[in-house]
Amino acid sequence: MGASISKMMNKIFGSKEMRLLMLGLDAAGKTTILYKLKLDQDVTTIPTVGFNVETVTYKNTKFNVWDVGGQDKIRPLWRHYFSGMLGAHNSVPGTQGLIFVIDSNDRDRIDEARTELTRIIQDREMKDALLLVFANKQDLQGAMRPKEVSDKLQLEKIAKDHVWKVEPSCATTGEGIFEGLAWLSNNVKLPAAK
Amino acid sequence: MPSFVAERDHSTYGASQSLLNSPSRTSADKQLLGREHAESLPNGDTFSIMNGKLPNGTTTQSVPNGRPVHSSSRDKGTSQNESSVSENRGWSFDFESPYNKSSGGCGNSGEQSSRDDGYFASTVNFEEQDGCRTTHVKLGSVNATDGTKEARWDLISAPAPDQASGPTRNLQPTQGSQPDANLQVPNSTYRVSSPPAFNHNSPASQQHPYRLQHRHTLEVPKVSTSRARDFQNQNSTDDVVTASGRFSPNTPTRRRGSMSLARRATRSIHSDMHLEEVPQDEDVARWAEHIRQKRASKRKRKEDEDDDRVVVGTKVDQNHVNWVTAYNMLTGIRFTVSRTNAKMDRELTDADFEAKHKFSFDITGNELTPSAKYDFKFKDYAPWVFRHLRATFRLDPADYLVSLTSKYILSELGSPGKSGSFFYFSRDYKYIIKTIHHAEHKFLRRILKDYYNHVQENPNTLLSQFYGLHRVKIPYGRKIHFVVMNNLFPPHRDIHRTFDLKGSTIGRDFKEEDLEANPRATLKDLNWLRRNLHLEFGPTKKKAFIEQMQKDVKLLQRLKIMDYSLLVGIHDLERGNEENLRDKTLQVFQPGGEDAEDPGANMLMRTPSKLENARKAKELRQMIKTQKPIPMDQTTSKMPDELQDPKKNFYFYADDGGFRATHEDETAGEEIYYLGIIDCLTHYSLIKRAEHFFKGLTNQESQISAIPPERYGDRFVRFISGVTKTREAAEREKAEEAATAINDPRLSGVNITHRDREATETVLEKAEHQAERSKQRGASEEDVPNRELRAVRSPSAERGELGTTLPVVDEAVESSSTGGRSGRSIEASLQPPAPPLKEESIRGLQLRSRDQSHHRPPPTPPKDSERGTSEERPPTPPKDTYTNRHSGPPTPPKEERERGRGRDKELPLPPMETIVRVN
Repeated sequence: MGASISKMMNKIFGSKEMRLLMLGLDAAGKTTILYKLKLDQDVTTIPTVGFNVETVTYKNTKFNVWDVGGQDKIRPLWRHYFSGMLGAHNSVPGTQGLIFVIDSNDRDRIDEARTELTRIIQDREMKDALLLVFANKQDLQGAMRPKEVSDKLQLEKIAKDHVWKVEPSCATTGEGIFEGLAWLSNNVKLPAAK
Repeated sequence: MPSFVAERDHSTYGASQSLLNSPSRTSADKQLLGREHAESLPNGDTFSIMNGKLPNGTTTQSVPNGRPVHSSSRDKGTSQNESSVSENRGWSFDFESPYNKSSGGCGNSGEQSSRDDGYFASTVNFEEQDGCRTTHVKLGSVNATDGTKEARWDLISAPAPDQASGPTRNLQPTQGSQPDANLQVPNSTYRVSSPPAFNHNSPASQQHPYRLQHRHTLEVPKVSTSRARDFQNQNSTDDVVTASGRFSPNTPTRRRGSMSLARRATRSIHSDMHLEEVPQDEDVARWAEHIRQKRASKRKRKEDEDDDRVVVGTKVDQNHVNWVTAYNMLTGIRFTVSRTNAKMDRELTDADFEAKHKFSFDITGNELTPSAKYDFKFKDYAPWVFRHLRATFRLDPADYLVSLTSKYILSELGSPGKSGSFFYFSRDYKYIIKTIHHAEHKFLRRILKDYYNHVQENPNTLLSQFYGLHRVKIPYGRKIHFVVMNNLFPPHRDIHRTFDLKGSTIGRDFKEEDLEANPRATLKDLNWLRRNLHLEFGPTKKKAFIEQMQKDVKLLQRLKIMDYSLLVGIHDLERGNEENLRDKTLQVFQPGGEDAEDPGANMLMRTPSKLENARKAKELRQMIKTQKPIPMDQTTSKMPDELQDPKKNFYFYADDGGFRATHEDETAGEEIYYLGIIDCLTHYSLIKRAEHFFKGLTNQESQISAIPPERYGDRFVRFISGVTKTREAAEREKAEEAATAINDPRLSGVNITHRDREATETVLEKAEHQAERSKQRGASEEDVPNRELRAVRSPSAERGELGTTLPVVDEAVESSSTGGRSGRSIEASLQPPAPPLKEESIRGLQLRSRDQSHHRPPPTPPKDSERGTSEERPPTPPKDTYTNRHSGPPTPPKEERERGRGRDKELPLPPMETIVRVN
């Protein structure tokens, strides 16, 4: 009920609503990004077993962000967050997007990240999703630059059916994060005529 | 297909008619036809091709009996029809196209029928043919009333059904012809709007309900076997369409009734769906149906008042509901546990024990909840408390989440308990989801704090470990409460025997006869005693075990809980995992998982009366495609052979997840026990008090299970302590007995063992209870057995004296060994007359019995004789041991007792004498 009302409000006032799924390997900074968005604070986090969800309004767009834990043990659960959020059952106004967070300083696991991303992005339920990659932890020395990240992730190949972007970011300072959201907001396809 | 229609008009068929008919009857021919048909269909020319081919394959001879009938009936129909013929023409043509398709389509319907119900299959198949024919008939009528044309059509149509139903039809070659005739006639008449004079008598009535169902439902396609599906796919899509809707085997008559309209409607729907969708396999179809059904279920059910439907629907629903329930449970658990565990840990507050959070899930999800396939509401109780409990029990949150919620596993036994609870096992078999009653749920919440504190102080508790308490509610459904608990039994070891021990003896017997049918059944106290089993723990383990049990029981007593039991699973290391018991008893529900073969589940295929819409159906099907229950041994996820997560930290679960038997010298034994106190949510409430009262009227009050918590706990502890002893101890006792028995070699084998010397008090108590029980039941004899029991305690003293008449004694003893209690009871009843027997003598008996049970001394000739006498007695030798054990009192169980009485009459006093001897 409440949800439907808010949807109507959104229609009336022209605001957009986006559901975003934020994934990535463990310790990439997802939860930090989430709370930076939400609270504009650099919070101390623990490894997320499970998920956090917050709603952030930015530039007339309401982002419903799901931050799902990235430990390899619980990655099998990721797919449970795909459905409905993106794809077939999509009846939520606005388009959905996937935020994939990379620890730009973790060159050892970039391949692992690519594997996971490939798996996600090629899921049927994700076929319409925007893909935003945060090349996080840019404040660290020797961090991979966005270009390097996109190359190593082979985005040209694995995300060729998607609209994607790699955004350099630093969760602790908030740098790049809102730019990323803005990009998502701007690239959202308007909901199919309702 | 259109080409097909055009061709119909051609007269070429005439020759082939007979041929065609024949093929339909012979399976082989049919198949041939079918293949040809398939090939031909795609091409425009199918018809001509078919004609050509058909004649080759088939013999003309077989022209069905029905045929002649057909023509006659047809004539009638046609004559009537003729008036309407002109009108009909218009739609008749419509028919044609579908009809032609029907060749492919018929196949589907035919198959459906076969699947649906065995009994329908036969008729249905025929009907299909009929259906085809009938339509043809119409055409014939339209064009001209020529018998020949009609015949031709029939022929043509016949092949089509043959394709699909080929296999099924084979069975009913001869009959088929007749039904066809019947059906056809009515059909034709019906259509024309003529009165249904011919109506197929019985068949029509029977079929009616079915028809309805089939008609409206999407299921028709589902029903068709994969083969049929393939077929459809091969054929032009048009074929598929027609097939699905129209020719459902059951419907023939009906269709005719409202031919044009009905057909079109169905057709359009079906056509859309089929065209769009990838070929489904059976399972997919079935599941899709189930789900759809469920969703629309209630409304539809009410709408459809057809009895058959309801019946069928209920069944379906049950299956369905369970599955959806499981899905919802796991989805809810995943969500709530994920939510809680993602947060920073914190200290519990009192409010946490009262907390409850409610969430509602739907297909789209919302800001807080992810989407779920079904709409449901989920309530999470005291999430923080359970989080802490899980931590206390050393569960890794990630493991918990993944093993519980990434796959769905259902116990094959829907409801193992009397309580009606459902049990679901997690994928890795570590966790159990158990549905509980509202009262239990409330009670658990009330005692949660006590439980929590107890667990904090006693991390090694034997009590069930509760990991979560939730509630799920489906729209318009009832609220289902459930707990997540530890599964006592290990994933990596077969459990060879399972016992549920309460320390009560009334009603605590699993019939040995039933054991054959269900060898994995959970046995109860009396079975345990009869088998003369023990929890074989050496001194150290025994001490730890009993102490912990006492602590736990104290808590339960304080909380006024009763009716709990000690669940004991025994893994025999010598047998190992060779029997693969686990894989055979579990089924997996695996959403989004691997492809699986047909589970062979007995899903019903009732068709929903309405299509919600094609798109939805399509989505559902795709969604469901991978969700089928499959036997555990067919999945890629095998049960592990190694315990991946040894619970080293928990004393009673440290040995391979269990508690290994030890010998007197503390060396490891040959068995691993998996045990724990379960069902500890029964409050001694009014209901139980009432049960206590009423059961107390008819039974020995102390032996019924519903007694006040204090006494329940005491009895429980005593009983369990009594049966806890090492093998050595048991054998020592045996040996002693044996030594005594040596005096009389004959008897030695025969005598009953009394392992439970140690079990002194407990055993005694029980024995007394039983004795008392027996008293109550057997009025006059009561006194005697008791006396005997008491006397028995000093067995040795009078042994020598008693043993006079061996033969009789032997029988009695033997009977006891084989028949168990009965033998004993006899003794008891008999003994009373012989006051001289004292406790010692009884002990001797016990010893003997023990020996028997364990060693099973073969040379007991009396057995046969005994058996003859005690036919009624169950051949379970352990019984005797059981009774003997407990204070060795010969108080036979009720039945035995009675038997004993009977015997008493028959058998004079001799048994007593034998006893004496033994000693």
